[in-house]
Amino acid sequence: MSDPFSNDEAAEPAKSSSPKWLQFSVLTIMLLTATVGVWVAQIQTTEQTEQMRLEIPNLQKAARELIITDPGQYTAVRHHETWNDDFRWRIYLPEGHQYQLALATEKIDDGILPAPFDTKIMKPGEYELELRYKKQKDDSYRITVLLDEEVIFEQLHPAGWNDNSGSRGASNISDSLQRGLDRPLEIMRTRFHVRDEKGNSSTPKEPSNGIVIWLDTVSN
Amino acid sequence: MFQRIITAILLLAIIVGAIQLFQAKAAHSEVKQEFDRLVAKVGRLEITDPKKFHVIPIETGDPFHFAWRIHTPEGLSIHRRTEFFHGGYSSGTSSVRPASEAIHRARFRFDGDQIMVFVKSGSGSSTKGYGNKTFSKFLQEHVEELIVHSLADDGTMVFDTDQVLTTLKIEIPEHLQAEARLAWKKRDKSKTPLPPLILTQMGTKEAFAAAEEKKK
Repeated sequence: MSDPFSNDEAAEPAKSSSPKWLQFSVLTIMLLTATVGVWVAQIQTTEQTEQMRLEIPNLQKAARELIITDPGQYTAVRHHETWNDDFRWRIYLPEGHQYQLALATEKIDDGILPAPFDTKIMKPGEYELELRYKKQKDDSYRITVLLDEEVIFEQLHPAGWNDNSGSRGASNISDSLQRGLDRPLEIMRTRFHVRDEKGNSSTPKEPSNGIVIWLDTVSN
Repeated sequence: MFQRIITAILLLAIIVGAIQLFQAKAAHSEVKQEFDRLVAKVGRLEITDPKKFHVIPIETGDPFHFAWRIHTPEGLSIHRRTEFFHGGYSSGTSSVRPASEAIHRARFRFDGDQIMVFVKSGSGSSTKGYGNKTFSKFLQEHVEELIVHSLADDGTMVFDTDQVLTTLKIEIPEHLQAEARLAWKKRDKSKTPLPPLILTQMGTKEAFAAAEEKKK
């Protein structure tokens, strides 16, 4: 007769109900955790980088920085004005050519380039260009053009050159822009108004005083 | 055997992941450097609602130089007005435009006995100057004590378009009013409070009209 209180099965070791292929060692679980950690960090870093990359063009535009998408073209941007008549630009001149920066202050007509008063040969590269335009105590005007903070053109115009009747036009560049080398790049064009006998001021029909600054290629 | 295959696959995934993470971190560091440089220059303006004004101040490092980046929603004609201390004012209204972003600026300069003020708002700008050596000296001596209300000086702020935004208001504190009045005009014995040194505002014409109506 068998003993109803005996338990022969107790002598056998306990068996897992899971199939063997679902059983993992501690090492496997640690490796899995490390794998997930590394890949999540990689994905998050890539996403953050992409987010910043997407914002950079807008920030560059807001900061008025040069945005050169085609290195074979002129690129220019006007720096933000922090004061009245604050004319500062950053310009980029592509490789493979020589350039001429030109300034004219008289006989300026609409639409066409005047004869330059002063010129400066420039090599390819990036430059800071600045125009300083200051009325003196005796009503004469001092015009100074600086390239990378060095004076390259300086002119003193007598009183009457600009009679303060107003002007038309100013910098042709604000946000970063690119232009082909096939035609000159006008950086600034302003024409001073003159007063008639009745005291009304307007831009004269004939060529007049003003300021034009432009870039053009020159043969090597 | 199966365990070994899993271990090998995981090890490979960790090695590949680590290499990718290293490359991603290098790219991140390079992009972040450029991003941080630009943000330091013009701030980070996050547009959360394109139909509202968004304003962020720009650090200039000069106590008399204030600048803001302002997002203007599309389809609005914006009126701008600046009141100067000596009574003059300038104003202008832009035509209806697409959504835009611009840097607005107000700056004081002290040149000899001249006090010059430059205000740039969108595409328009104005400059005013008044010669008063004593007052110029007074302002420079008390720059820390002036009451400056500069818009959004705590970071990006969002405003409804029915509001008039006061971008800058600089006032002379009560305890300096008498001294300022003397510095400005020695014979002025009036006790009326001095007007703000500058008040620059922008908003739609309707918002300005509503603000005027409210004053009444």
